[in-house]
Amino acid sequence: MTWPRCSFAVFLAVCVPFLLFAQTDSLSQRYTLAAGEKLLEDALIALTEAGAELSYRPDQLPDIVVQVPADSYTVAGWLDLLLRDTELTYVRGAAGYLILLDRELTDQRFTLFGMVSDGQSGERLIGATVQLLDEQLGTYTNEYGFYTIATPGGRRRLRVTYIGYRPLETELILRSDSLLNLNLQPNRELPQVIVTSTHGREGEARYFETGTRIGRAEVDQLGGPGGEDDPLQLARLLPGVTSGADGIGGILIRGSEAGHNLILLDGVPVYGLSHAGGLFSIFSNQAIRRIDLYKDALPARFGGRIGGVLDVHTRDGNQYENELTVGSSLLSAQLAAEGPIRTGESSFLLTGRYFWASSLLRQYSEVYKEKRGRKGSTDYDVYDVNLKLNQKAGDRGRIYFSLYSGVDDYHNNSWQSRTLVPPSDAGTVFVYNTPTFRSERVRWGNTVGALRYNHVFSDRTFGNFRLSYSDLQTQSAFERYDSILEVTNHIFEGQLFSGRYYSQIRQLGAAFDGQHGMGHATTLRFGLEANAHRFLPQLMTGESRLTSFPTLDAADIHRPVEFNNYLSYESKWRRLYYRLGLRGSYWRNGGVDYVNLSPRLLLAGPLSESLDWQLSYDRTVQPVHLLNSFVIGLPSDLWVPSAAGIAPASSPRFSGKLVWSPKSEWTLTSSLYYKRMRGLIAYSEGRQSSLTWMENLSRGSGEAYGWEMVAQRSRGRFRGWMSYTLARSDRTFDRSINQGMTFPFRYDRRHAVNLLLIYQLGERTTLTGSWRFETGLAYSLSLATRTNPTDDGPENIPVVLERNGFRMPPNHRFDVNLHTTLSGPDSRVTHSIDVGLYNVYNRHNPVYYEIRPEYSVGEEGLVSREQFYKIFVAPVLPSLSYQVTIGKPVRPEFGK
Amino acid sequence: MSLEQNDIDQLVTMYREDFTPDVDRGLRQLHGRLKPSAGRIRRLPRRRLLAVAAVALLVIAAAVVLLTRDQQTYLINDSDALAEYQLPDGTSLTLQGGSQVRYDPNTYNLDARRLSLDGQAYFEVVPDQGRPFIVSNGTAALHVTGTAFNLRSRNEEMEVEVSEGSVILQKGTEKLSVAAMECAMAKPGAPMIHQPAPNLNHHAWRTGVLKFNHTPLEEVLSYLSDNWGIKCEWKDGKVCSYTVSGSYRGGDAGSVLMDIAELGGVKVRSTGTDGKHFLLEGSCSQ
Repeated sequence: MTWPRCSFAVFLAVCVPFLLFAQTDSLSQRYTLAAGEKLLEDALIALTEAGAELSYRPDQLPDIVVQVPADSYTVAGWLDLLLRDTELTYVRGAAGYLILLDRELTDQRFTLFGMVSDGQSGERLIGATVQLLDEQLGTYTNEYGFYTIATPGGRRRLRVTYIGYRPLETELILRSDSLLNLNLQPNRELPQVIVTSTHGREGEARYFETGTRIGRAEVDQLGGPGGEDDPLQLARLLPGVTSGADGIGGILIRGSEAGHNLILLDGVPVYGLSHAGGLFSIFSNQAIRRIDLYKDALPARFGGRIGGVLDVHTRDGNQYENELTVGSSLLSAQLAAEGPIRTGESSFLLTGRYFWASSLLRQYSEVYKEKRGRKGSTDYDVYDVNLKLNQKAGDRGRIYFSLYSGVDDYHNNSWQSRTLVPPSDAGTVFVYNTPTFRSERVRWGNTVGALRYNHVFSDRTFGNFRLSYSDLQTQSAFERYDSILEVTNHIFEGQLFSGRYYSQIRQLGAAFDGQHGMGHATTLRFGLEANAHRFLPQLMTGESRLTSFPTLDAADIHRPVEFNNYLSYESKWRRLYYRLGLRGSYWRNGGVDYVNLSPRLLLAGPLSESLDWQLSYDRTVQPVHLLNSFVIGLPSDLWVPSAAGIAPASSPRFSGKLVWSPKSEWTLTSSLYYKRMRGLIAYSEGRQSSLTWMENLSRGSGEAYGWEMVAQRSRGRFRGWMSYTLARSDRTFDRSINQGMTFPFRYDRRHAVNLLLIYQLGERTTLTGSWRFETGLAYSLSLATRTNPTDDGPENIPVVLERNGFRMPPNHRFDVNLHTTLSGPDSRVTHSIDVGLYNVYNRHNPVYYEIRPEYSVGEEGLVSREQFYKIFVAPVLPSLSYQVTIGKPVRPEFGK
Repeated sequence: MSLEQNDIDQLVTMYREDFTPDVDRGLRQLHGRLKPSAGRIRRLPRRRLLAVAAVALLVIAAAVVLLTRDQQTYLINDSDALAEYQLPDGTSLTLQGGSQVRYDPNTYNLDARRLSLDGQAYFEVVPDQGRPFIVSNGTAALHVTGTAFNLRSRNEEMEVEVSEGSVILQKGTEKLSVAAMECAMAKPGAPMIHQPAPNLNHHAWRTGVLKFNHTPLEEVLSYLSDNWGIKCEWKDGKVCSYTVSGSYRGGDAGSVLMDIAELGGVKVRSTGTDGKHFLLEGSCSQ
């Protein structure tokens, strides 16, 4: 029966390929779905209804919306498309397709890293918090805006926050180590929030960010003398920070001296912090992005000074829009220009200040002196310039160039002569002239430059290279004589003092700072630094005219070299956050070297939901010393390097802090600190001159301890803080100062109360009042004089019973400032106006006392008397400032 | 004279088919059998003839009555494929392999249409208000007026899933009305269960279509069991539970089980020899 067999064979021959074809057909069959936006689950349901065979677990599907295209795809093609943004994958099962969790994704750990920037200007945000919501893991950006965080793969929800910006929440599927740059939008809704000193940082970042941030908004609202916005004005309202009256003398942190503060401008140490002896700082609020003040728990990357740290970062300049700001206060005219060089990639920022009040000052002083019978004038020229350039270098790097240069030029001279005719019994007439002459000239200038390159080496490693230059040149001279001339007989008697002070410091350095993220809230930071210094100090006083002083000798120049390196490890163990740091420093000057180790320890953690604690120990070392001298009545501090016989100063300190936030807007902080300072040097009592400065030094130590308390309200219509500090700071030197007895530090202010209140009058207007009260300075006052038995020196030597034994009256002042911003809707022009009063109740806070001989007619002839003069700086002064900004229109959104 | 079965059947058949005897032929046969007798012609006594005819008639009637009273029609499906039948009233039914339907053809379409089912079948009942369609097993009965439904009746359980129209499931005195896209089950010693069944998964043995929409795993396993007799046991009694969505058409039930199990990370091992018993082991992942 071949026929049936044959037909069967033919049948098979036809069927088999048909069957095969049918088999592949089910895999390659294309389906079309209704196009549009759908929930993922609905899209999958539509796919199954169209005929695809698949199954999945609906609890594993994320709640996302997918865009369904109008094309037709195979089942595999559809699943590729629909599951693209999920952590799911698909496999071909026995009966159809299966959608499963991608185990490869969720079992592995990847790193997310990148930069956080301002979405509108491109400026990098420092200390922004980056959190992964699913895991309660968080990190914060470093001073270049870089963050790195390790997490399992798959669907991740990210939240980025920074005060003054809208929080950013985003979701992504992490499939590998990914670079994710995040842009935050500024919160144009007027922030009724204080940024300064808030402990409201989210997440774990608050345990490691131990500095106090000084916010630009508050600096703008506070105003300053003459309307000059100054970040240091606000810094002085923080607990633990003090200064001389009206800022004279620099800033002093927790009982350390002004020369003990590390002041960094873009990472470069700055030797001169202020203009006008302390009245204004060199930091123009236009140029500054952020200032962090560290009082304790110093990160290991800061070193070289034993006081506090002021870490100043300048702005980069808007990378997208050009902006121009022009303005003036009662003291200075300001100009700021910024904009992109290549949009989105590079930008520049140029700011300048010029104190035009000097020309007014000259005329006014001439008239003022004339009224008092003196001839002369006072002249004060100040200007400073900031330049910043930044350029993107590839995908992972950026180059920054910053330059600051500022000059203070002060002249004051006056000449006066009074004619006295005392009555005489004999009837003879003697005519006396009393010419007095005073001339002071101070010129000082600061230049700071930095060239930096940052590079993201890998997903968790970041590095910054820096070349830096910093110099400080000070020249000041004074000459003064008080004399009496008997006209008839040409008998001349008088006293002449003169002095010259010259200091030149130059520092050139190279440094590298690195950061390596090790996952699980652990970060390793490390760095190296090398600096070459050049010191030329000169301080001479004498009784001859200035012109007779010898010129500088090259042998006086010091050229020390220093190397530093540091390592810091921060991590967390259960509820304890800790940071261990070690800094090593090597200083070599003229054949002598000093090696020091500075360990740092920080422990912190939460005690409860609203209570945090912190304990820290730091040791710091300072190889350059600032010798204070008040010889000429003006601060003429001399920077000198450690050398043979002069070891670097060191300071171990302990501090503890408790922060309580009962409600989100209230914070109460209480801190205790204790520090010892060793290796301090000061001039021995008596003559001071730079020719012999190394020989006339006294060595000593200091001790400072105190308690600070702050209550702060950071949100709402009424915000601000009140702080109280109870502190003590002593010094003990060898027998050549105060006979070896302990004496109070000049700025030992027992009590200090600071009050800052910002009241939100309107949406764009604030009224700020600040009041500060401080116990007076400890001053060496002489109440008696003794005749000088030698021919050397002045005739009468003031005798001081106890060094710094006299307490000046307390220092207090109330300032008020109204700040408002005006701009039309959609207008590119913004006006900013400040009106206020500095020292509202006109308290004359003395800066120092001066003793001058005054001649007058007495009973038996001419009498000379030592007269006390209380020198103060600022009576009640108006402050007024106006600024115009032309740039991107500010579109505020209110009422949210 | 004894009547043999074949003769009776033949008689019955012939009788049923409007029997008209061929008299001439019968006479001829009779004559053929008669032997001619010499002598006198003996005439049969009339009474004897009548008696024989009466007995014959009686026997025939008894046979007919007996046989028609015991007669049932069996619709059986022994194969693995589906078998389709049509009942005298026009109702069509699809019978699953290993199932059978039994009814009395004589009384079927008289006042009611009664059936009994052992196994699983799908019915498309012709509407007839006057003659209710009733399927019963020992425990419960299903009253139908004109619908399409799937019925599983096994081991004293009766489960109905209605695709069109409505039915009434009765157990003892309890009556439950089940509408389209609903499913109900009657079991002895347990209350009746009534649930929605939008996906008509109990029809899967016939349609091949399984649709799951947030269906818990236990329910999926029950569908596999009801439709194809697949029995799953959990190892050490550790039961995993998760919901499943998806759809299959015409796939092999064992493959569907493998896939559904893989979704939850459950391992499946075949036990026994019939390929219908499985042991499930799960670590109950997520």
